[in-house]
Amino acid sequence: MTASAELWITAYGAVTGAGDETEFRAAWMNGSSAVRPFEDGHEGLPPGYGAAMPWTHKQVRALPGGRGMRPGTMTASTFLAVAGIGRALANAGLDDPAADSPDVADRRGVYLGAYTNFPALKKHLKLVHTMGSPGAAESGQYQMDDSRIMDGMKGFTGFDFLKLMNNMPTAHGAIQAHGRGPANTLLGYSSVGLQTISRACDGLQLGLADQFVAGACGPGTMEGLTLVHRAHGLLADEGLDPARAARPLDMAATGMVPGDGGAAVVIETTESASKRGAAPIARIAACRDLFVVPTAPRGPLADSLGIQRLVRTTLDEAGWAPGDVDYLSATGLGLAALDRLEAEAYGAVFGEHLATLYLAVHTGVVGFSEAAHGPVGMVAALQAIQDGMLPPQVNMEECWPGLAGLRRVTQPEAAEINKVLVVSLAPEGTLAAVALERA
Amino acid sequence: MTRRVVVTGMGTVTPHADEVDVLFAKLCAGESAVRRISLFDPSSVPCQVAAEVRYPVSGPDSIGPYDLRPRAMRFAYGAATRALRDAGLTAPDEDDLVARSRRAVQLAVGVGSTAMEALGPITLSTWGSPDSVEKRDLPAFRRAAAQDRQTTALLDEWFIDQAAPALGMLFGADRVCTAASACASGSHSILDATHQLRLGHADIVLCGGVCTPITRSMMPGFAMLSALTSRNDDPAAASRPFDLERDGFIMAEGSSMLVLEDLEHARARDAHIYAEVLGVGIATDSYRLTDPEPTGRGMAASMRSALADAGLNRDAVDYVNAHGTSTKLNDAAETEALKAVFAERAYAVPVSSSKSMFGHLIHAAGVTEAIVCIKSINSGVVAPTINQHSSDPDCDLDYVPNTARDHKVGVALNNSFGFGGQNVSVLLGDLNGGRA
Repeated sequence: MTASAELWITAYGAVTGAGDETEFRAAWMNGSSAVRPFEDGHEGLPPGYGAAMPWTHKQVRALPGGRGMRPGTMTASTFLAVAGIGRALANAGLDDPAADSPDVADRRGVYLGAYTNFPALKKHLKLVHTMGSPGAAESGQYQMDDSRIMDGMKGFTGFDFLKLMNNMPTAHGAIQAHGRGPANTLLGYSSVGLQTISRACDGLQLGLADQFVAGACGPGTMEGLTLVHRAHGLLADEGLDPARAARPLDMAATGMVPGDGGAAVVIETTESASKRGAAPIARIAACRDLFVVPTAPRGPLADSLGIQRLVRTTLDEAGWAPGDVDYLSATGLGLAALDRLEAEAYGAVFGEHLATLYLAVHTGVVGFSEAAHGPVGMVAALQAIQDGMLPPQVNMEECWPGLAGLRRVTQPEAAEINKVLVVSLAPEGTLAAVALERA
Repeated sequence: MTRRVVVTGMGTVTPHADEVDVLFAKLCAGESAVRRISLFDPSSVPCQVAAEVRYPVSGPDSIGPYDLRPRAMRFAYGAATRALRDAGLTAPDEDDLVARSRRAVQLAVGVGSTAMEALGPITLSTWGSPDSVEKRDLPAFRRAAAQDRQTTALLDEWFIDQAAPALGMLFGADRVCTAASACASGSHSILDATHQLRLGHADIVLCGGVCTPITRSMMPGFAMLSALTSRNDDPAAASRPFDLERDGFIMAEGSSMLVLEDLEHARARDAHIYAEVLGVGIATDSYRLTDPEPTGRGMAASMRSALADAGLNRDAVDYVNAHGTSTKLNDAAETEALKAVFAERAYAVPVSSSKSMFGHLIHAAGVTEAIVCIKSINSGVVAPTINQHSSDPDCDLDYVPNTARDHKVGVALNNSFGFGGQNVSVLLGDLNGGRA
């Protein structure tokens, strides 16, 4: 972000495994984890526990901000995106499309991040199974029989495929947000959520819109994702105490704990906020992202230099020194190889200031929500700015050596938060950060 | 002053060819690339024709940690290497952080993967014969799949998130971004890249799209949406945008890439400049997931937005490369939108749809069609819309029917409109486009 217009966050919303943004805040302030044994449709999935969203698709219509949702036409990913947007719009007082003039809708953009629009496997597995050659069971060798494709397609509708298109979070989201301006779905792992914030700021700086609803969705407990994560050895061990399994930046962590999440913020220009009487919560002071080639497609990175560079360039762009940061929302996926480097990077950049700043990691509370990771962390930071409270650090007991001397918060503490740095790193080497300053 | 953005490299791996000049020559000759599907036996599915890449795309099996063997990865890498070679660019040294910080990749990736099929053997071992009518025990499948790491790792292909990082490594870029806005994605990548350059975030952006949707599930799936043609007996005549007898689009696969560059940066390194990105426009229907807004409001808004961005009057536009999918709804709505934007001039501006010949490349469509626009600007020839035999009263513009035409193009408008109501328009021109 290099242009000069000041941009403000005026509202936020989230859905997580702990509930909506208010329930998420309450859970974190209580120091409690929303990670629970899998049940209700997650049976058999590794690692056997996670922070799954607590609502069914049918219940979501009754949620504040649930206007216009058509869950049957959505994957879980899209559902989470739209639910997060719904919460942000409701909190912004923008959830009544009848109140919008066409001009307002034309000047409202929607940018969302998603890792994938992976489907629920059940129907697709049936398709694959049915397409197998009938003689396969005897031979033990699976072979596709193309003549059976349409047999496998029984039970499908066109929407079952349309909803897999990876722009669907935004397509639904734009309808939900009554946004006729720029709209895009950015695809990627944890860092993409913050990339959408950056791109929304770009859009505002370029004058493409007056308001953006920007955020991301992450169905971390989806079966396809958990199976792939298991295949790559990224998940926490099975058989652990679920409430203590998600251990961000902690040396005892055994891997990622999946969580569902969707979160969005409303970003607008000074003029837009002023015109509608919206009170700014924070100014966006800087946005940066950086790609570093990892050692393997799913990581880890070779060293912490890229993370250091990301943090330093973001601070430079904001015009801050490391010692200015009050609140650092870190990534903390629970992957030893990444957490160690993340800790090392913060140690190198912040040094002794680690004893003063507050380091927040929400994955200990609601698990890893894929693309939504960054926006969920941002929502928590905005809540801290607003209520002046720091929640306890959850499951961070013996942190990696880079964080030696880190300020420990074990009970809620009052604090004035003025400058926030939100960092979201992906093992695959895409790294992003956003700097926020209290309004 | 706003930075000017120019095109300094083009690369393509599309059904017609993996060379830009050959592609354009075949389009000007009115040659269709649509054939009966060969990637699987399509006899049982409603739409049995598509535009496939039927030639081997050579390249390494990997780059750094990235596996280039999946079809989408091979196509994206192939198009990117061609575009970078065309632009005379190689990756900076690893320790040249300054050069790397001025480069970015903006990629659109799309539907289509055979990853799910990899799970077939586990379904067999868990559930037995495909003919079994016994209830399929999903938790049992999941437990088995969780143990079979080698097979479930193949699901990775579904996530299609490796292409942009792989190109980032190839190009030596500090920033990579993957995005999707359905059929508007390719043009969207041009729009996003242009914005990155204008804001000064980069000096050079490799942008493009890749899509491999011709799969056993996506073909019948899109047929169920009534989006695809059922004209199986005459593949070359199946894609007929704006024709009265059109009945749906043709699925196509491939990848195209552009190198976009700040004009001064391009001049400083004495790069060949093919065209300038004069303006980019975007608007969203916010209407329905499947259907375009019937009056073409969002489409028209994106075209107007591109014109305003370029600071050009509609009279400056010499040629429109239409989205022109060959569906009833799109082509009528786009025609309506063109009339709304161009008024009487809509009847005088040549409008053609390259999809009549290479089908719908979905996420790669916009960039491929931008290449067609640039070739028209450079050559003074407009490629036709083929299969124009029956006039549709709702589509009554000059669609350059069946035969290419000599026509000087200073400014070309490229339209891309996506499922979900996402609309992007890009104005391309020579360096004096619209300003002479």
